[in-house]
Amino acid sequence: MSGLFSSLSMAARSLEAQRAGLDVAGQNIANLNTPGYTRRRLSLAEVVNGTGGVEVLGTRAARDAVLDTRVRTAIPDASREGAILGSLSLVETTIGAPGQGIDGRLAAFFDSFSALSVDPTSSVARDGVVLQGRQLATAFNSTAAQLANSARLADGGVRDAAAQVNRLSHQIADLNDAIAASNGVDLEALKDRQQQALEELSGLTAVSVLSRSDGGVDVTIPSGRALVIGGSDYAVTVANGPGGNATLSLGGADITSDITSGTIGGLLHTRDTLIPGYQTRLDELAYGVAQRVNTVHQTGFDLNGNPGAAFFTPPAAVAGAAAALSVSAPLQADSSLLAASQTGAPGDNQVARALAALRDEPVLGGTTTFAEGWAALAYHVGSDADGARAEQSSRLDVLDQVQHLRDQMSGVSLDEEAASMMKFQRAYEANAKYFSAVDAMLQTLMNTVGGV
Amino acid sequence: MRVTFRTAYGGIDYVNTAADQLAKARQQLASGKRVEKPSDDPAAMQRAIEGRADMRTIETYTRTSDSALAKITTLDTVLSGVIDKLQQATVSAASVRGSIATQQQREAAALALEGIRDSLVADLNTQFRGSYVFGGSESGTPPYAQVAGVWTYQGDNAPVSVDIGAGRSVEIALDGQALAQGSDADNVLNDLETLIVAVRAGDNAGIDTGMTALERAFARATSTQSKIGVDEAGITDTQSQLTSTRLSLLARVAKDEDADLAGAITEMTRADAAYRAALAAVGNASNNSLLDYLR
Repeated sequence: MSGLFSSLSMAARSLEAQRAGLDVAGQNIANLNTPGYTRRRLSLAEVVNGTGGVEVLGTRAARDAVLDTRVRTAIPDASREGAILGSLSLVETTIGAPGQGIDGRLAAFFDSFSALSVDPTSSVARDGVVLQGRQLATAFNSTAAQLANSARLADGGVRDAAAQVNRLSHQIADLNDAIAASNGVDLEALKDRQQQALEELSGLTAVSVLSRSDGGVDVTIPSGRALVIGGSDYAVTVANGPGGNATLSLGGADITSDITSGTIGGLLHTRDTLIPGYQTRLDELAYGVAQRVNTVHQTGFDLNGNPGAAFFTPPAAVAGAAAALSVSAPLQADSSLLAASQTGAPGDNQVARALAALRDEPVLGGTTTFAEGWAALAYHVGSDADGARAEQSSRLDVLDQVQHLRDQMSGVSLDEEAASMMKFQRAYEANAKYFSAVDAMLQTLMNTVGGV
Repeated sequence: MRVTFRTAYGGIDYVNTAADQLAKARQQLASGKRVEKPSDDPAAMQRAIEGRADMRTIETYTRTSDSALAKITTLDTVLSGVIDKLQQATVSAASVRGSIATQQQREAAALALEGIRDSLVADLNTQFRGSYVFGGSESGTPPYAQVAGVWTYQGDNAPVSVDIGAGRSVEIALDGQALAQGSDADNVLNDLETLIVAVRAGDNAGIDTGMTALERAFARATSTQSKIGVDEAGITDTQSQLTSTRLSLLARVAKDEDADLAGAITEMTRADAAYRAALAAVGNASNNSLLDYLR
């Protein structure tokens, strides 16, 4: 049996242990709102070498590597759809409500030909046609410009995201160094930050994470190229590719097409696939309008009896037709050059009628009217955006559930911490009482001995 | 299951979702539109654009047929005048036929015929907003003018039509030659000139020839007028058809585009209730804490 002095020292150790418990609760409460914080638990154990009492084995974080990985892998898909949705909501504004986009301008343009057919010599009707033609061309120009602008914004987003990837890679490499140097001291705080950085990186692009034996991580993109190995990080470099679009390379190899998820994947998909698809449709529509109107217009004669020239400046190619569409300069200056007559007689209106009738003809690819062509473009933009929204919402649900699961394991509960505060406080009180009891016993003993 | 601090306040996500739904419902109710951007309902957007294009076409047809009707009414009025004048000419010519008419009577009849000839010229050279309507597509030239003392047709034989419906057109400028000459050797104005000479000369055979020519002209004018009448009726017909087609298109577009008001109100009430419930849930969850009970 040990003596009173060893009882005293046991009580002192125990007081220390309860105070450590209170500290851990305090730490947990302090970090209630810290992103990425994993709740700490105090490990206590009975002393086994016969002196009795309690000893602090250390604090451990309630971390679950499997859940951490699941959260990390759910992030890229959700952020990819978010990026697509963000870009497309901008594109959507260029489509406008039904009747208020290019469809409205097309209808007004063909209306003006109908008005001309009633009064083929009227200068008001002729000016009306030229005006509507110009407004139609302007509408095509500005829609094309807005699409190009959306693509440029997506490109800018890719560049920003690449810079963020580099910042995070660097941070993760620094953390690797710090973790390796820490020899297990205060490792948990560093690991919290490491997980936080990895999650942020996963939002930008999917990454593969390999744990190192020292607690650090090696990070590669899905195609296998390394972003971080130990304390070294490898920067993603941005270069200007075709059309001024950013291309990304890592370690000298082009990785632009390897990145398909995360914000970067979403932005690249929008920039390289979705918007060019819309641009092609818009260009085909503009090219079709210019070609068909010119062809019919050139069969006619103007008010001066001369053969009709091109109504629109003939587009060089389908690509870029929408951006370049314009009413031919001579016609803009003089509406009498408008060819409404097929015979050359001023009162003949057959060409004007034929032009007005183009609105209902299957002119695009022989199957689609101009209005249907525009409706199809609107449909594609809408269904892409709607699809991205639905996809994002289901991905976020998954992410939310995984995060919830992890939070159950690693999150801080205020009630629990309050209870544990109480628990350690009471234990401290009890130990203090025990200490004073032993002390009193010693006192008694001392007094007795002193009285001899 | 452990309920953590974050779980308790995680309800704020649901508050956001509910607030988003409420905002959407409010927007629909305020604008009255169900589809404002393509992603609201891509298929409805596509149908609405196509439906609106069809509506615009119908509106154009309606406008064109309004203008055409104004022209055709003018043509009809002018043709009535032409018919009256041809009748008067026949009457005048008949009155001096035979051997009893005096020279004065013949002269008076000749003068009357000259007056009728002049007003027929004026009728055939009728303009509507600056365009000649009896010269075919030569709308800028008077259809009938005297060339070297002979009345000559200066228009062409291409009547001008406008579309008043899909595959339906009406003529708004007529071939004056078909009206004034038809298959005759000469036009009615020159026939009248010959008749006037015959009347002055008391040439009964000449008067007979002239009167037969007038009869044929009369027949041409009445048949033209009845054709115009058919067009006129056709326009009225087409317009009522266009109106009903437009109404059904409007209903179709509205179905795709417009918010169902009763539904939108219900939806807003529902979203409002959901929002309040979410707020209350989050508010209450954070009210309770063990800390309140510890001394």
